[in-house]
Amino acid sequence: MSNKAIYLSILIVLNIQSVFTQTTNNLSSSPYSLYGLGSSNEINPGKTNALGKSGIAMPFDNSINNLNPASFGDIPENGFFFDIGIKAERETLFEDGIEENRFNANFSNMAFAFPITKKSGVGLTLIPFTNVGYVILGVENEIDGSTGTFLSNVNGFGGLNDIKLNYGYSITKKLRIGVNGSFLWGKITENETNLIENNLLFIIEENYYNGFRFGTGFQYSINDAFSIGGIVNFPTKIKGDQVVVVAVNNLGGVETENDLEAFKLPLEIGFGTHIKLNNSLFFNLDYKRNFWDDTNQSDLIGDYVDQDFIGLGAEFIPRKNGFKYWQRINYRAGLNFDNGNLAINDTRVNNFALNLGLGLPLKSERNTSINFSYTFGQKGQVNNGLIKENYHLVTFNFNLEGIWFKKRYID
Amino acid sequence: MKYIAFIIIFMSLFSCNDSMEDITLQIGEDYVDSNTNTNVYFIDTLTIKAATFQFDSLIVSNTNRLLIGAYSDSVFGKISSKSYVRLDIGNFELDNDAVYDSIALILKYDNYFYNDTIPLQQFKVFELLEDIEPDEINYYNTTNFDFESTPIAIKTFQPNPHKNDSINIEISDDFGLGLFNKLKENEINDNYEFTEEYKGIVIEPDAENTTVLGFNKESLMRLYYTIEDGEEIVEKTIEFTIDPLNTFNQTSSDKTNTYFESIVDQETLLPSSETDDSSFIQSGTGIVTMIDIPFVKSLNEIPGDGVIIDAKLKFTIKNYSATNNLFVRDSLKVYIIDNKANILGNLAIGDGITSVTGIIDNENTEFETEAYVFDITSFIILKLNETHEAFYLAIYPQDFNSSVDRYIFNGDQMEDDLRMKIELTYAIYNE
Repeated sequence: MSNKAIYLSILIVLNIQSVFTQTTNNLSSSPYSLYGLGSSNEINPGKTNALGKSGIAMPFDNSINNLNPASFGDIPENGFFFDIGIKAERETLFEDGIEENRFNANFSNMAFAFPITKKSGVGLTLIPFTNVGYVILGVENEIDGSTGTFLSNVNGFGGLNDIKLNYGYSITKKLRIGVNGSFLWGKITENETNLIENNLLFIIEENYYNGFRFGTGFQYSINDAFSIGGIVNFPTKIKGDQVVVVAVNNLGGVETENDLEAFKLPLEIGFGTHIKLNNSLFFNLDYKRNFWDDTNQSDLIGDYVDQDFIGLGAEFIPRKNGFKYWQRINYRAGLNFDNGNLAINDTRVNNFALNLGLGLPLKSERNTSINFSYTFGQKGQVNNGLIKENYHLVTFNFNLEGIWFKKRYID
Repeated sequence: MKYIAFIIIFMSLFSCNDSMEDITLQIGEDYVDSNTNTNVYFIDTLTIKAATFQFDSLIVSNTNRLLIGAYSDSVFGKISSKSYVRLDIGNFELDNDAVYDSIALILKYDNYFYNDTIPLQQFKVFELLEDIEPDEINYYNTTNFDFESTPIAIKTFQPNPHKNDSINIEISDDFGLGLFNKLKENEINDNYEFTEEYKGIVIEPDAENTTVLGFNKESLMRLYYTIEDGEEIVEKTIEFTIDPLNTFNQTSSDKTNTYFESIVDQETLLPSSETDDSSFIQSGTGIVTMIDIPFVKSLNEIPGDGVIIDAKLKFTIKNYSATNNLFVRDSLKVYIIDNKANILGNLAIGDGITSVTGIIDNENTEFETEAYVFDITSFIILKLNETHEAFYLAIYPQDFNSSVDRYIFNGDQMEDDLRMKIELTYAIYNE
């Protein structure tokens, strides 16, 4: 294993962080990102995006699987994997007969992984943890004590990043365990501009969060065809500081700093199965539950409630070492459903998505490929004060194996 | 390597996203409402107390105006203003065969006048007995110097400051000839010797005058004489100019039977409640409206973190108190004072530099009265931060030291459109 490659990868991963923060000044599109720490990211490296976001029991299988640290115990010897992903999303929002379209595009992840020994491997993943991005323009509110009104524009952006270290170890050929630790940090900014008669009131709220989260997982192959897996992510608190600047008509401004109430992330438990029918076809089925009830948190919009997630995915490769290119393509499909972690007026914000994907191999001798996924999803509903979102999400992941070694030979 | 290039191209494709700022986006509005919680309050019920006080004295040094005249006012009493003037002589030559002709004071209008200019007015000019010297460094509107009891000139005239440039006051030949001879006989050779001999003049209005007039400091005294040049007789003059540093106006009033009679010193306050819900200003004599906003801190009782967006002080001119003769001007000044009426500074807007002025707002003409509006946002912020009640406002007219304009304002007990009030816009941003 080349130290230079690891060093370079760390550099790139850290570099990407600045790219995240530059480009997250966009609409994540969803007004739902107003609550909590923003909309949770579901996009991962590797191929799980097209597999109904499932993969708890899925082995490493030549692409980084961020869903279970135990999978890192399965990295092939002498492999070095690098994955960079981008995503583009177009949403259509519906509320009270209004329809609006929004678009955003961003990096979705940066990750690398390599084996340490024959039996163990590590990986570092940088992904967004949450994303905030909303712009609400021209909200008219009454001035108390007068017949006048004032106009507000609100713009929120930012989010938390997750830099996650995964370590996996193969205890036996059948059993792997893993641990992961995440450092979560980021800034969420809300800019509010109020036009009150001829005066402008600016309220700039910068919320800085950071915290650690740990998790563990296992994968067990009952036989060649059937594997199971489980993960636990432990509850944690994300500390926050807030800097508020209030200024009237661009004159000076008063800055205050507050400690924010720590945001509690719940216990997450997940189980999965991986069924490999033959060399051409496998299925994943995952179930996860986030115990939000126990965090006793609520937001001004609604209450946090236990969230269930179900993901189902399948991958089909006509002929892995086929001579024809189309035979080597990975065809993937998936479904995922979750009932959301927020109840607004006792109505849950359900999310249902259908995924299709392709893994396009770029080199026959190495597992270098582009993983493409397309997701059509629906979140929320039009009733009970909710917003319905239809979204089309496209992700590209460049999954590069061992190119660092290659480079060395060419040099 | 080609994959890395591929990645970089993709990176750059996605790193420049379209900004969406120009689009109207409404979905999610309700969530923002519940999330942001900015509440704006319009408050016009904040207690405001107006009172009138009078400065013990006003500094009147370096005014650019000779303010001379008098009038009687049913509210303010009899006001009178006279000018103490030191005269200077420039370089002069006077031949031995020069013959005295006459001497006159020429007062040049500067376009200021107040009250009725139609009746005939009378000015008297007296010769000063004392040197005009400042009291320490300043002249005050109360400064006095002795002068002769017999005038050297009396002028009755029809003032017409719009039409005429000046008025010409012929001075007695006794005075003129005496001066002429001292110049001719070389008793006076330069300005020093002149001012030793001639301390200056006082120009005083008659008590029955009906107007106060302003004259500029280009006004002068002119001595006319002749010399024979062969067959011809040539007219010549010597000019005596005004020394601007040692010329001032003494403005005073007879307050008998007015609200102001009870004023002892500048710490005497006449609350508007005791003066028919009115407050007053009179330039020249130092009568000023003081405004107290005692309960600004009650804003803090509104829960949440708040910020003053805007605060306007509004008050109106008392009905029928402003007339064509006793007119008001369209802007007023405002200063911050303490409870002993000491001026602490002028009130500036939020930039800390630009002075606040009160401007007549003609929006509300329903009551045929004019309201002055002051942006006192910075003052309210100052009040919110004071540890004990230390700051008040004083309302001044323009040219406070060199005019006799007077104003009568409605107090806080009038009906809503007329009453003195503060219109406050207050935002709570963090409940």
